[in-house]
Amino acid sequence: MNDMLRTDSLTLGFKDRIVIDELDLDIPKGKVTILVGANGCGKSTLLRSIARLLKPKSGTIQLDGVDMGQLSTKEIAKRLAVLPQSTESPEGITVSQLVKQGRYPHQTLLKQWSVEDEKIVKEAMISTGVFEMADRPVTSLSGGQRQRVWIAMTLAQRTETLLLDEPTTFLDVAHQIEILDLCHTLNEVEGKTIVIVLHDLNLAARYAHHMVALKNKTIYAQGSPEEVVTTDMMKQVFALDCEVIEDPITLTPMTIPYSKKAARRVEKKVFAL
Amino acid sequence: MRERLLTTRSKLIGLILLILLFILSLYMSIQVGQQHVAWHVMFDALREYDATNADHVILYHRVSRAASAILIGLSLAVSGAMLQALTRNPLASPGVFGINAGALFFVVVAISFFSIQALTSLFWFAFAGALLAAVLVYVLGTVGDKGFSPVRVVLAGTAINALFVSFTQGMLVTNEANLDRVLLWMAGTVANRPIEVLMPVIPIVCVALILALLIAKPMNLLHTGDEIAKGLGQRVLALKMMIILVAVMLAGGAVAVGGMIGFVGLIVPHIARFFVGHQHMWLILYCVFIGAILMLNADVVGRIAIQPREIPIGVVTALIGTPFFIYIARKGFKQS
Repeated sequence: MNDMLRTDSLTLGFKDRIVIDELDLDIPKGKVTILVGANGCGKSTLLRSIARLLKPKSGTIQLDGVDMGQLSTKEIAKRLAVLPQSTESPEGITVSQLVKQGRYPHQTLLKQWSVEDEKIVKEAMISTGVFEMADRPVTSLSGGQRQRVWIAMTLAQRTETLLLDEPTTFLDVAHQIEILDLCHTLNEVEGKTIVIVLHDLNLAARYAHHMVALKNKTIYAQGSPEEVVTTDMMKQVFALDCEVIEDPITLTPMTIPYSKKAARRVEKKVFAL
Repeated sequence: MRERLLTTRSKLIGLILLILLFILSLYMSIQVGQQHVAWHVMFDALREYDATNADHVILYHRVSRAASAILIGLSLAVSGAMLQALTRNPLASPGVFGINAGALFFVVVAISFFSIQALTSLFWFAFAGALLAAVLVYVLGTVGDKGFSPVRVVLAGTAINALFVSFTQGMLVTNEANLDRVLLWMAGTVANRPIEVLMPVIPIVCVALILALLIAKPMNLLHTGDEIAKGLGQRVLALKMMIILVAVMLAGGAVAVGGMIGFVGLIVPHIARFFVGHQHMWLILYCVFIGAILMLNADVVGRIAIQPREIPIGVVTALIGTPFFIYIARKGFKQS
């Protein structure tokens, strides 16, 4: 079976407002899936409901073929980790204390902290490059470092699936690449299924195996980045006229939007002798 | 800010020191007073209590008030720590949450309208009042489009607190006969509480403490945010209900015994956190002993400061607590 996460006529919303309507979505196993769409299209809402942070109005979400409503929240936490969009950085706790929390779903009253837990926490910190800062307070770190610490916490959960809601927001371009490279490595090396909500289309096209563009409460297009990122999709989903060219580095599609600001050609004066 | 005691070993040593300090404070509380009682009489009284011996009677009263002080101190301190964890707000406490005022109002109602005197019965009134206030404040601070906000919880707490205090005052004004009996409750006191009447409250406080220790670990998750806690498989709503219940049991018990004693629930968790940080298992244990030590010593100070009269213990804690409250509030504003 290739789809570890699947939604079945899933309807989401707040009070009377429907955000996602009767959505059927399959998320392929062992791949990086990136959700894109205009502001307010419900991509974050969808991710949050897949992470059971938001209750569906109707429909079901299946994890490995089992309705998530049937699983206990702790059971889900052993299979699926989520990093929500707005994470406050907690006062007065260190990097290692935060990462340790990822082991919480694996602990019970009787089974307390073990050598194996310690090892897993250490590995999570090493693979995200935060091991050197283990004893530093989280609040003393930069935005990019903090995001890596949060990812380390979700890794310590040892789940097959990782859901990230706009993990690169508020980060500069170098840190954006750093976080997405980390996701790429986790997928390549550990075979994790990763689902990301991302604003930057060019980065999405670079890192996604599978892209899903949302519009009008449902899927507008899905497939490989080449299939999804087209001038037509840009026009329909983002109401933006674009050129789509090939990314010179990864050869994935790259969008260049038109704008009111047109080309400016500067006459170069050559003072030739 | 990081905790000062980093390793488990140092935290354990700190706890042992606190226990020693607690025993010393307990000894002081029984020894110090207008009437000096030789220490060997203490052991005599323990071995064989003689109700006709004046020294023994004095000791009996001192032991009783020490027991009240301990019970109130640890209850308010742990209750405050839990409410601060619940709201992620350093200014939360049973007092700020209106729990004390709610409990007091119900106690005054019980005394005035139902002529109830037994502390056990009063406890249930105090508990009901505490629960009502806590639920009102939590709901007012949480419900709405913007959802939960620490500032709104404090505002709601202030409003509910003012409401219950004015209800209480209104009742006292219209019914002066009870004023004397209720006045000491309002100031907060540990005097004249024979140890027998504390007995029914002790098991309730013990159960609440055990529950608090059982949910210590999930409470650590709450510190990193509701959504993170949910993502890690914690049933957040159930946990929060549990925290409110335990905090109310403790604060309700404290008010039933000693009336309105402010600031203990606010400042003790901060002192404890200074040493052990945000690991709630340690935090709760430290709060238990620091709370008891603070109250024992506040009682001793109140007893000897203006002899031959006494300052009510609630006034002493307020004298210590007010500057501390201002300090925390200023620090909090600087951060945000």
